[in-house]
Amino acid sequence: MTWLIELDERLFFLINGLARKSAGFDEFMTILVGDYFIPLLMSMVLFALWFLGKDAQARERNQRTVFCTAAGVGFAAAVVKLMNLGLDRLRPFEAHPDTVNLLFYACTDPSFPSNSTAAAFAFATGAWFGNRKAGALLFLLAIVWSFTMVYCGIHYPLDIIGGAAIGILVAYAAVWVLRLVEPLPTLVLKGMRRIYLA
Amino acid sequence: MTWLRWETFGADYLLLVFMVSLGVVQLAAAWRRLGGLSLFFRRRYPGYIFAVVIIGAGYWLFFSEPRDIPDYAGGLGGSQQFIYTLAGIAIASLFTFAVSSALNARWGRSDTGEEEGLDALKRMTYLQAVKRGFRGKSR
Repeated sequence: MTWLIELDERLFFLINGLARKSAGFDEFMTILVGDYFIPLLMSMVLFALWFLGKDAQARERNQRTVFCTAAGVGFAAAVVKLMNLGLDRLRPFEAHPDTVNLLFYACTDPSFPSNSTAAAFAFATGAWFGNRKAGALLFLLAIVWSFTMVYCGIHYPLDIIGGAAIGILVAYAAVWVLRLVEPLPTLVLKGMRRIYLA
Repeated sequence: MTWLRWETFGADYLLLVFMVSLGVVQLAAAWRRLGGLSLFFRRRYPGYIFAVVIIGAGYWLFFSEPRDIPDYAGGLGGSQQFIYTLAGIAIASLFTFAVSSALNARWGRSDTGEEEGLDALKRMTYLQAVKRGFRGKSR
């Protein structure tokens, strides 16, 4: 395990070492890494998906995708919360306070796994099942967001990989759970269609 | 833009979500030709431009000051952010339904009686569609 941690830290310093070279780029990355810019963009892609689709069938598939993705994100957050009870890896800026370029506020939750990455990849995977274009866009946003977390000094690459794996697996589980609770999603969609919301 | 800043961070975030959601609905309305949801422009390209301007303005207003504030110092926690996001989307949707129904009250009503759900809003406003729904049930 030691070699993996060493490799992880080496990769972290390689990426985080790029920071503080350009003030403008750092400021841009600080906006991207925040809790509001990319997460809201991802939520809005999902919200737009609710209205889109060539015909009623395609739109219904997109709307099921929205349910599935929302469930996946909720499950991912719950799994990470549970894992945080047992795992307590220090954040990079706590473990190496003198060498890390910290461009964001000092987060207080454990470093591994990255909860933001888990949610982002759950978003992307959930959307990918129902709509490849939306899924690809969300994967791109998830990857960009994950990179900024290492660049800004708040996560190690291994935290990101762990979070992404949880997000992807949990999104698969959400698809399965939604199939189990059928016909509930169908009934909800039918009800919403009757009042012109779906 | 201090006159637009409310007292709390949560209110700023709610305004951001409201404006961006409003833009997304207008974008979708222009793309899927849901004229009943259009606020000002039923034609496609003016609708796109209007939507992009609202979304851009929302982001610009919010990010015109530093937002890397932790939840222990006035920022939003994960669950709070989730609730504010849902609330912003709901308020923007209700606002769109109400205002588009009022602005387009004289438009539409070419009711073929075939379209269901959102498709009905291609030919009528949300209020007209709901009234049609009630009439259908009372028959």
